[in-house]
Amino acid sequence: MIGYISSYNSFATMEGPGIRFAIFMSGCNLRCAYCHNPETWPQGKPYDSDELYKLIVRYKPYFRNGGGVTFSGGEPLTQPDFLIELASRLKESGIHIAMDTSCGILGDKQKRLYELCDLILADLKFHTPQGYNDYCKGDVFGTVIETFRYLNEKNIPVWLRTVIVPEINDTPEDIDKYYAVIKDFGNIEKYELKPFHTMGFSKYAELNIPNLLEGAEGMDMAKLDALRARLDSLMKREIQV
Amino acid sequence: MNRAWRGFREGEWTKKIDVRGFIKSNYTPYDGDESFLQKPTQRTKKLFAEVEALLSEERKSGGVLDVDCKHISSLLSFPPGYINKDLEIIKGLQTDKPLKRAVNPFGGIRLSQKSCEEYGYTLDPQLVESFKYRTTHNDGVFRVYTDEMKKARHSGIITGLPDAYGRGRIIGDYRRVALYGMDFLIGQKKKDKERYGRRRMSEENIRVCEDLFRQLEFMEQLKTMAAEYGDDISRPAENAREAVQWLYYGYLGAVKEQNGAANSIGRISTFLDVYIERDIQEGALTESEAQELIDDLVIKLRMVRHLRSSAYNDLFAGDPVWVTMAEAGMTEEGRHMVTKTAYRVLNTLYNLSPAAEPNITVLWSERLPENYKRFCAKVSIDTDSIQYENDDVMRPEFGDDYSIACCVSAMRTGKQMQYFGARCNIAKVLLMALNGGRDEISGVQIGPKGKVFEEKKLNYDEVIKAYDRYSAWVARLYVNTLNVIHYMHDKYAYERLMMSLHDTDVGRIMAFGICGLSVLADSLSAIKYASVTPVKDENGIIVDFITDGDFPKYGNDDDRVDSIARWIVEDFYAKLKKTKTYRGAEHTLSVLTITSNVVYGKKTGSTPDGRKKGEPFAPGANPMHGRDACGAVASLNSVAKLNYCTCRDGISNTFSVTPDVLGDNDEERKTRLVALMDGYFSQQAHHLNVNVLNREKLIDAMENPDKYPNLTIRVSGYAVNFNKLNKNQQKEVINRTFHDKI
Repeated sequence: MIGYISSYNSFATMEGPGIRFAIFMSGCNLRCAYCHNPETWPQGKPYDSDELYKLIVRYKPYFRNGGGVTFSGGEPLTQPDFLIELASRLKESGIHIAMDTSCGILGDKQKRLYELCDLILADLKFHTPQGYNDYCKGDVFGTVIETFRYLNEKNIPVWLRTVIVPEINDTPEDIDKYYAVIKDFGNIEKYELKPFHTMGFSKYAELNIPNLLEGAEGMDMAKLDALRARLDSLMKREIQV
Repeated sequence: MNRAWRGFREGEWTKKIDVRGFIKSNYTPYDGDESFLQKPTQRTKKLFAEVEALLSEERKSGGVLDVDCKHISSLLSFPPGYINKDLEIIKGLQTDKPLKRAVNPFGGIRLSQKSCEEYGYTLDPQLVESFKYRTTHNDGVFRVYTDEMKKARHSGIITGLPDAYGRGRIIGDYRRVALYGMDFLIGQKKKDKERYGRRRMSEENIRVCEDLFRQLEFMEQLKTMAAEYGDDISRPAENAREAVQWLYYGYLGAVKEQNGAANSIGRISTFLDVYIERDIQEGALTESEAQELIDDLVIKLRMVRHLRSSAYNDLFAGDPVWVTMAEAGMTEEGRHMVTKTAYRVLNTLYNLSPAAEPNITVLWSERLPENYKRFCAKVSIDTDSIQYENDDVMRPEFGDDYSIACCVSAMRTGKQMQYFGARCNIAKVLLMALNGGRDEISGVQIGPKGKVFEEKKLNYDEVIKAYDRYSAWVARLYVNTLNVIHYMHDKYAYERLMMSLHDTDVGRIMAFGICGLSVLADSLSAIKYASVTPVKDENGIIVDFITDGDFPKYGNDDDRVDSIARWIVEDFYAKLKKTKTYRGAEHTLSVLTITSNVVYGKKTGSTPDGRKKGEPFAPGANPMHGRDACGAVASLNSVAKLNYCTCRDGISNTFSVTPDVLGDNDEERKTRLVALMDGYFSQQAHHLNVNVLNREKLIDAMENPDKYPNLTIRVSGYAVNFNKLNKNQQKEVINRTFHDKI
């Protein structure tokens, strides 16, 4: 089966535990305003799932100590058939599979794909439907929550992340609200806040895509650290909201 | 059993020289972690502070603190020298003062004169006069060099040849001094001399007999040298302090006598551990004192100096001596050889701060204890100071008691020696093949006359045919040139002391090398998969290429081009083997450039892969920087495909990564680094330099991107290749990655 891929990285370390082979699938249903990988939006290069499988197994010697493959993007959920086929074969070879997703699509196929994964790196972008409406291509808040419930029910481990963007979601109240959204899910092993940065801006110009955040500045790290501290205490239930 | 060997398990080693047998019967493998290690004592701190002051003075004086222009370096030409006599546990310096350099004109008097002058000194006229009446190695070589050899050398197609300085790379088995004492070793050599004396006096046999005479002379001198420091090394070492000291005397004598490009100390930690363990068991030594011994030895090894010319420094930046010290690995029976002293050696990088010397080399095996692997990873992350070589591929070739010479070259300790052969610039061979034997820069006819390719699309098969012809020509010339060099080195600059610490029936290796592998592989790939058209200058010499279309590039785990790289190495090795070597040495080959990839690049015209005239090569077997587009591990996989069996002198690869990319905390970083090395080495790869870079190195990387070909950095949530960022982005990253965290 053919899938469309923007690029891959044989030494990915940000996308799950150990050394990972990360596949950046092309196509995205959200196209967030602050995306740092807009080059993944248009259709990428076609790859045969068999060809990709053969490429990945060459890296198996590096996957000890928890490493494996990560499906990222773009939005991997936009190509479920291809990834179900690939993930099934990887699973047979004993390779750990993680998926980096915004959780914005949920049908039977996506559910099957989730079940083939050992770890979900889930992106919770906003804590209200309005946030998704304002900065993404669609309001998927309901789907995200439904997905979280599904993953919890199936007991699939989740590492959660939120990108903090100045003047969009960078207040302590925002952190409290994010926490309120996820506090009942026992399968969430980690929750990390990531800083918005402007490193991806040059890509918008190169790709001739309008940059909605033109002129914005990167997240202040001191401020982020304070938000992280707040989230950590919430996660440890040291403070009540 | 004599007093020195009390408590040791006996074996064949007590009757004849067999250090390996001694180690195997007596060492204690250690599976625990680093928690037993001790910090430096007050004494060590005080002594090291004095050393640091000297080093800083040396830096301020332009790299050379002092030169003695009157005395030729040898075992007895200087009275004993000290840093601080009362504080030193392990004694001995090359000259009468720390960091003072001596001249060693046996390689060539002109080079010594030049080196002195470059640092503002004048070589004693009497000394110069006396060398008029003797032949140096350099004199001998140039008496025999043919015009063709001189031209090839001048054009840089064969380059870095050890024809004007000591060849180095020979490793005496300095452990023998400690285990047996000099008198026993002298007795063995005298027996050898009798034995050889009974044989037919062929040219080779006469040579061996003369070699033995020269060895014996220096063995006696070594005893005298040690006696001047107050030690009697005619007998074996009786405790750990003596074992370290005796071993070091052996090494010190060697570096007083020889100024070779690389003077390794060998594989010593497991050996010394036997003595340290015994002393600890006997209650004669504490852990802190054991660490002091190793710290003191390392201090001494960091102070080894040779007088070099500036041209030498261009090739090998940073005044290196390559006091390579290998440790760990497995025995042939499958026991690991990690001991507490392997940890103690690594611990010197904390006790005495990180440093390039000694060149600590971990002999990696998948079966090494996990605790040790993780500690090595920690040391790499903290210090960037150690390198890794794959014991699992070297052990079948060199047994389980080999040492590493220079950077990556293995040889059986005390049983094999090496004729160092620098390298052939194979990227330049291609250009010569296209230009019908002319040098693409000077236009001079170097090789046999052949067809000059026309200014139209190059045909792959025709190019390969021409390359085949010229690489065969250069391979033969290269072997013959090295034969001349090593004949003369044996004759006029023989390593008397080092060779006295080898078996008389020594195995010889002639180590050839290539540079420009990734340039040649990508160039051939471009010719095969894209369209390459030569561009000529007014003299009809091809000086550039127009390359249209994309082509697979080495470093992306793409078999189409990786198989070309593999073929280049195998093919050149096969061609070298067609010409007989001096003294029947075994041919080996390396893909190694150290830091000279920049200079080699300078001497090479534009190449079909898009590299322009004068631009640096990638170091060693590394892919060209910026061409590995699939991440660092794909790049490792490409290098791992080179066949070690045809490249037993080593395949050098440098890997750079920032701490942040390896992980958010120490545990994650160690886990990933161990996985990376296990993954790489399990595919029969040979060598890995690991850089886990800090801020200073990133700044250096901005200026010298070729030094950090696959530097991956973390930018908040994702990772990028540092070289792919523009200058401003790099600056931004440097500021961000480091400042934001403080």
